[in-house]
Amino acid sequence: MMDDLERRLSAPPLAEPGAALDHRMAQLFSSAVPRPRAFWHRPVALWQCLAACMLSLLAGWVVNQAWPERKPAPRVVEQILVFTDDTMSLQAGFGEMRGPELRGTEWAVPGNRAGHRTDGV
Amino acid sequence: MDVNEIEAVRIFYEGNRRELYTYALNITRCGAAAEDALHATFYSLLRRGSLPRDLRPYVYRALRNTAISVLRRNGRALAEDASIYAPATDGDAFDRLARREEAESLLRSLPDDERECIVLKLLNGLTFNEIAALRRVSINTAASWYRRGLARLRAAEKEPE
Repeated sequence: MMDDLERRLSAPPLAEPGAALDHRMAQLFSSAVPRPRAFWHRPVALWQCLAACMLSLLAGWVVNQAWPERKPAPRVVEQILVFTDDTMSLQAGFGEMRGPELRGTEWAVPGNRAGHRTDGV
Repeated sequence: MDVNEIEAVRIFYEGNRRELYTYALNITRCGAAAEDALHATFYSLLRRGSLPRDLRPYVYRALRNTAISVLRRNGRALAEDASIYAPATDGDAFDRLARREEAESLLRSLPDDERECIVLKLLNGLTFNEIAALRRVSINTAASWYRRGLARLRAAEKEPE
């Protein structure tokens, strides 16, 4: 409920802006060019930016879980270890033991699976 | 902003131009500065990509910021002390003039916050909720500015007697 003082304060008519302002505003509205609404032009709130970042991270994590990285197969050492004492012959290459066909006294001699050296010696 | 939004802004301006001008005038106390602030506010609004969610609070807040900027920029150059009320016309000139000057002088005697709150509430028709949001204070603070301002005005009225 308005009391007398409030009524007296609100009774007089308000000041009117000048005709120059009306002219300027009319020009302003008539020259306002409608722009097509574009996603990148609209103001984006900070929380929207943060939400987009979090969603990107989540999507990356999900993709990473769904398709695990394929690691290359470990290289097989093409190398033969030859023990040539007469009691035992061992050929290490592909983890297999070979019988008495390999003879020698050298360790870690480069060679092929047949026991022939390949380093030119 | 598309055509409909520009039209909505224009309709809002047409419907509230006096109130907005009065509010700017209350801050700047200069007619030309108030007009500049009003023009700059709507110029910025039309350059926005989209219409704000609530146009009325947005325009009032933008107008307040712009008017304060204009005031700071021009400072002492704004010597004119324009009235927020319309000048009296020839008809019932004496009565209207007396009431207008009385209201004007009472309002001018108030501190800025209280005067602004009374102008927004009584002359612009904003609610305490809107005033609180505009000034970024609590509703209680806005309401107490208003009540304190009115109490000061009543005291000032009684003083000469």
